[in-house]
Amino acid sequence: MPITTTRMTEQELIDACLARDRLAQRELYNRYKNAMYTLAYRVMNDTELAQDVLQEGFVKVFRNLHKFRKQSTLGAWIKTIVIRTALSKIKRMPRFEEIQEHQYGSYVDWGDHIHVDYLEKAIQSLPEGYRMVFVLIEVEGYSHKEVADLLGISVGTSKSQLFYAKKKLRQLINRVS
Amino acid sequence: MIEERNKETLARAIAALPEQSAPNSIWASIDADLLELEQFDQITTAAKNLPTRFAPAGAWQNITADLDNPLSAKIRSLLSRSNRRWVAAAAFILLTAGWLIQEFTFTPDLPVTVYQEGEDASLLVSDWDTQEELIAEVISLYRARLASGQLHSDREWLAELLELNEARDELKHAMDRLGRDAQMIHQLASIERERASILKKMAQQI
Repeated sequence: MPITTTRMTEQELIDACLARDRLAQRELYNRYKNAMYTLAYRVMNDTELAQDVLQEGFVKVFRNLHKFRKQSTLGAWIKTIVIRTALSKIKRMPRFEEIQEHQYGSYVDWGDHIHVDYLEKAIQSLPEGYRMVFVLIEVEGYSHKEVADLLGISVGTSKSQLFYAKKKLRQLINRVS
Repeated sequence: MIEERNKETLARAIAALPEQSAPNSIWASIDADLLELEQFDQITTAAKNLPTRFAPAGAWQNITADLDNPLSAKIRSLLSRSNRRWVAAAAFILLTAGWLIQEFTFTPDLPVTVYQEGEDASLLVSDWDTQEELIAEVISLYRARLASGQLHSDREWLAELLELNEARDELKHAMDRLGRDAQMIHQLASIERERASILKKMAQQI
């Protein structure tokens, strides 16, 4: 008796997807669609563009699944494809300016509590370059090195962008709250 | 290092960020894209699996012959299977064009008659000079009749005719000297009409 796709392990699902089983492909999509859509939306800051990224990204996932070498989790591999797809859709990349650490000058205090809705709105209000670095590092858990590779910037630039993103974010949260 | 205070507050808030729901319509688009790409894959696979044709047995002999004789190879290349249609079409066009050129350019030998019109001196004389001798004869006869008393009337016609003659002579002289213009020709025609009128009357008297 064939097992239903919802009960399949990740490896069984991958094998079925490689055999072009459309039900298995749909199950894989269902498992990751919201996480990837949220990521696409946070990077693009636009629902329609995020939908395009999700569609294009998952087509790439299924077309390149045979290249997945299990060096990371399947989710992490799909996430990288979605981020690269999103970045390819940004027509003009923002300017990332590097600032020396000793020039930072001040600290950021997050206080006792941040309202989640305020944080969400503040992230959406960040300038594009700050938003990308903040989302990739603080929300998605990438390292500065990985972000530097993805965005084509130096590690120092990634660090300074994150610092200014946080300062800006703190100001925005204070303003909306 | 960047200094952050109460960093765990940010971490808690980030962990609690809501997840967005992907619209249901996206799977249909992905499904359609995958189907289209799979169809392309099938065509690519089919193209790779097209049957192999075997070279004709005599091909190698022709190749070695061409290598030995480059000129015959060129001619054979011109008359190759793929070129034969074009060579035949070019030959047909050349033959048709040659026939059409011959048909419309070369006409049979026909006798050619050349006639040269001779010059008629009388046509070169101005028509107002042709009857001067006759007019002079009419005047002479009229004078003779007047002198003999056979005519009783109108010496004035004779005088008027002589005046018209003088006027005509002066105008002709001016035309010869200054060239003809429309006004002079008009005056001359008028004088000629008057002379003809008087001469007619004088001739009737005679």
